[in-house]
Amino acid sequence: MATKFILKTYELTKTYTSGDHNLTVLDGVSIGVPMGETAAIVGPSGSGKTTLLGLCAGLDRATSGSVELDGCDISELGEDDRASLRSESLGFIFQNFQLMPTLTALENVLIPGELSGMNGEALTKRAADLLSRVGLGERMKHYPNQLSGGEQQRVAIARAFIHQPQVLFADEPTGNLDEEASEIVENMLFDLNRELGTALVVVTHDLELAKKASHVFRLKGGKLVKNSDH
Amino acid sequence: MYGIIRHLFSAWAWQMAWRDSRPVRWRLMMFSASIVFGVAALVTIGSLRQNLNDAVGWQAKSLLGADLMVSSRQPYTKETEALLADLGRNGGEQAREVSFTTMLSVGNTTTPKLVSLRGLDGAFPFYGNIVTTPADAWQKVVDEPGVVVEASFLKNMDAKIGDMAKIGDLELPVLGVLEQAPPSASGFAAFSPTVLTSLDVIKKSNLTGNKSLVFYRTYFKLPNGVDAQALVKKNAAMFEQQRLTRTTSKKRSENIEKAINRLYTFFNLIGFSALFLGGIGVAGAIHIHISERLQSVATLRCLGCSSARAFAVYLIQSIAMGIMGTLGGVLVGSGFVFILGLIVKNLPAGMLPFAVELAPTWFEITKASAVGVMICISFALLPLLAVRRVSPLAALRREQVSLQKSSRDPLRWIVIFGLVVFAFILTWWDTQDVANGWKTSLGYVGFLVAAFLFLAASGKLLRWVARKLARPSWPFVIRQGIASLHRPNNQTGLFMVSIGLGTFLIFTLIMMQNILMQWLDPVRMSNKPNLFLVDIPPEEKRSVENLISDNGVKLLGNAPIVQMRLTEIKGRRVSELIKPAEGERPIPKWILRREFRSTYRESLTDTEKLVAGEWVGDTSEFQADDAIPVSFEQKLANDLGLKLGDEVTISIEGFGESKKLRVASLREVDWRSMNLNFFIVFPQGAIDEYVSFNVLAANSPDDESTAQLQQAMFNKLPFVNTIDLSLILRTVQSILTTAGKTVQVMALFTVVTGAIVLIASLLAGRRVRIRESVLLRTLGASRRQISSILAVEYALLALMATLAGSLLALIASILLGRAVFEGDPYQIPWGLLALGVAAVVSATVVIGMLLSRGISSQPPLQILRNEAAS
Repeated sequence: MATKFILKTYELTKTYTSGDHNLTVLDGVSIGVPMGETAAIVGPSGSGKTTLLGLCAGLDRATSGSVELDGCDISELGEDDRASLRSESLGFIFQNFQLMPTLTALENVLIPGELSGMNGEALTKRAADLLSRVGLGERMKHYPNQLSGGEQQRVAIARAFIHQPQVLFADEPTGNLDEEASEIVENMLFDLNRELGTALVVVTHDLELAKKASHVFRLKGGKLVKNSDH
Repeated sequence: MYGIIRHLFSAWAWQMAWRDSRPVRWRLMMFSASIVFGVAALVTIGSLRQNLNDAVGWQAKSLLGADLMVSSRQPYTKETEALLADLGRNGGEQAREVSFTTMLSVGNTTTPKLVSLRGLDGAFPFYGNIVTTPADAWQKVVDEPGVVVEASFLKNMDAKIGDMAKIGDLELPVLGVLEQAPPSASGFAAFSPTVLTSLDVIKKSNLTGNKSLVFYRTYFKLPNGVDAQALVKKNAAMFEQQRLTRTTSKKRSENIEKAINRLYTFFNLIGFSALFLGGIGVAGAIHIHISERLQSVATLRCLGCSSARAFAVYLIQSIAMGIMGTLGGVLVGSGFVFILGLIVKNLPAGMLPFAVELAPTWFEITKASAVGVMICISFALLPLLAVRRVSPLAALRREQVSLQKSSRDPLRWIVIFGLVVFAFILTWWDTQDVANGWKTSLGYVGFLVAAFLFLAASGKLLRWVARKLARPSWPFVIRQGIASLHRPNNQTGLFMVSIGLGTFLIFTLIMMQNILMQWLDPVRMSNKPNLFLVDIPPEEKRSVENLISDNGVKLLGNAPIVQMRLTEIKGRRVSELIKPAEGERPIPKWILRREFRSTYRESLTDTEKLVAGEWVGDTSEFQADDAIPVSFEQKLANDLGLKLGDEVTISIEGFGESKKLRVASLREVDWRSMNLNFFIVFPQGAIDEYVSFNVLAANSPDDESTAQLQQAMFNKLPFVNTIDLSLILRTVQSILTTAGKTVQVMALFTVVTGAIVLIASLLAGRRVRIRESVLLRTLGASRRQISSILAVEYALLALMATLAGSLLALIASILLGRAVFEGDPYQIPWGLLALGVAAVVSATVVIGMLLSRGISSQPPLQILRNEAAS
């Protein structure tokens, strides 16, 4: 049976122009992530990892090439349609957590659901369940500055799963955490991936974390140098 | 655009706006206060205008006492009587009046006073009442010889009801005092006490014989359905021919409304300025707010929030700020009007010419609210537009997202253009009732735009100079302070515009008040006439001069008066010019109709200056047959279409002689000087034999000397009228003081707004400064060094912004001084300005240091953590 890909890129290239100087940060990268599976994008600093993640998630436009999400070419979509796609099908986890400082933990978790048009008690209950699941059931009304880094990232994980996305993009999810917190976060990510069937795409420097993924894409100088499956 | 509007109505956007504002609500509320005083000013001024105009509208008929008034400066001719009879055929009623100013004494007091004596038909006024004490006093005056006088005048004369009033040889009993006088058509009556008698008394006496200023008036009460304006229009030609002026009650109220509207326009523009300044405060506050929220916007965008949706969240917060500021403004403005209403309610009866109730009006509240919210949103849009350009990618990147203003963003230019057009429409709407209102609003908006551009350009210049100026040999803190002016994310532009504009508005108000107060300068007053003696026969001039000097009064000038009318202008008869041919420039009819009182003299006075031609002081070089070389006042010459060398013909009143005149020179006359000023001045020797009477101008050192002179004059030369201008001057002083105080209140409003804008500007740069200070502290800078760097930066910014604002204020006050206040705008209060500059610079440094306190004393990490949490 042919593998069904939730995410595919074709000859993805990103070039920045500064004056009359062109800088290619991503050069003809083609990758594929099967539905419900995990993938890690690894490489040294400046290799184009975050650029590739941004293009895959529709946060930026490629100079050439295309990105297909669940069979839909997002390169053809307008800004609002891509935003709509993100709110419905994608989740994000950032290295620096990116929680809204003015919102409580619960309110932060609610946002993606609210953006995709879900609301009411069912959404709030689900958010509360997710927060309990990540061990923050007692901290729902706390603001980000009242939480530790690991706790903030756990809120971010709950936020990422609230609307049951098809793909979860994680950018160095443990980059700002200590070893213990990193382990908790990693386990949660992979557990939820398995439970909810969400495909996981992780950008990381951490080779141990990368080993846990079923597919590893290694970038160097903007090019895909290795594509390995575990 | 549609997306933004759609999201404005979504519950999520409002919910998010509410949640997002949580930690900064107090700050947003504080900054919404920057429009409070602008809105308050608009509510106050607008409500006062509407209250006054409504009062005038409701009492229009009682302001004139009739539907139509016809007035003449000469006894009625047969033709005039025929015209009045014809008007009377429309039905209704008529009443007549003869009035003039004269010297009058009462009781045992031998010192007479100049009064406005009005001889009236019993029927007048048709609308409103004459109220007297005792109540039947006026009816008695109609039936038997006598007068009613103002209570204050009687008290002044130390007399009582029943005493005899003496006017020349005529003696009449005082039958009562006036509680409410009938409407008066004469402006001068407001400055001299009114004395009423019956028309019969005037007719039977010889009082009008030697008077130069007598008014003959007929009042009409028209039946329902007869339109006074239409009647006036229909008989316009006859009125012109008979040199009759006519006023309808509608026209009267329109004239008063015009005067109110002119005053309103001026103060309203100040209100708008305060509001625009507040708008900058709002823009600054939104700039700070958005700068702090950019990371959140990027995250929201990442999570699937469209740019329109994110924009809507912050637009809602701006709208809320506008609504809060406007509500505050409405409350403050309405409270102010209520207080004024209470003050007016408790004023003694008769202090105002008509009854007026002051209360805030719903129309003005709604208008000011709409304007306040619109201005708030428009200014907020300028920094807010940047939200649209926040890339979701920024959430992935590690660097700090900063507010990127793009001068290429077409929406930004549309908002700026919209603001300018909005400002023009707003001011134009409010200046519609004023002549050339659109020019006023165009000039105002043009100057405001020029001020913005100038201040923005000054900011760029300052950045350039700062970049070039600093030398490596200078102390570290000075170099760092100067470098802050041009480094990325500097606040130089924002500071120059916000503080510069605030300074400009406040200093302009201070200088306007200074121009107003020049009028009250005691030194200036001591050399101005405060006493005029009129109706002096040529043969008595010497005796009057002697009496003046004998009573310690300073004689300032003498003018022999020759009365004349224009009969031909450049060879064309005046009767032709009254009806100009199609396409021909019309000459104002009042000029063609009026009786000119001209004089002759050898030299110019100090209240006039020659602007063209050659002054001719005597006729020694001219033949009797030559046209007389005369000097015309330049505006009159312009109205008549006269240039140097043109000829006109006059007829000398009372002598039946015609003279040909040649325009030899043009003069600019300072009419406000209350001096002996004339439209046409002849050379000595040309018309000396046609003098009707003389007018002398004098300055009396005090009321006592004035009284002595009046008494002496009344005893020896009772036909000479002594006009005591001190009452008028005191009234003018009181009006100017009130105007000055109003300007002061407006300045206070602007100062408070300016302070809020200052805080907004300082807070706008706080985050950048904290980051730099923390870095410097980490690198080993002492607290003292960090404070000194901040102080140098704030002081330089404030100094340059204040100087640029002061320069604009100087230009504005010179333009206003010349065009509006006609004062001496070059008398600049340098000391006050220097004090103002020092105050603004000190306030900026002190507030800036207060807002930065803690930065230099707390551990760097703690500051960074606190800032990240805010």
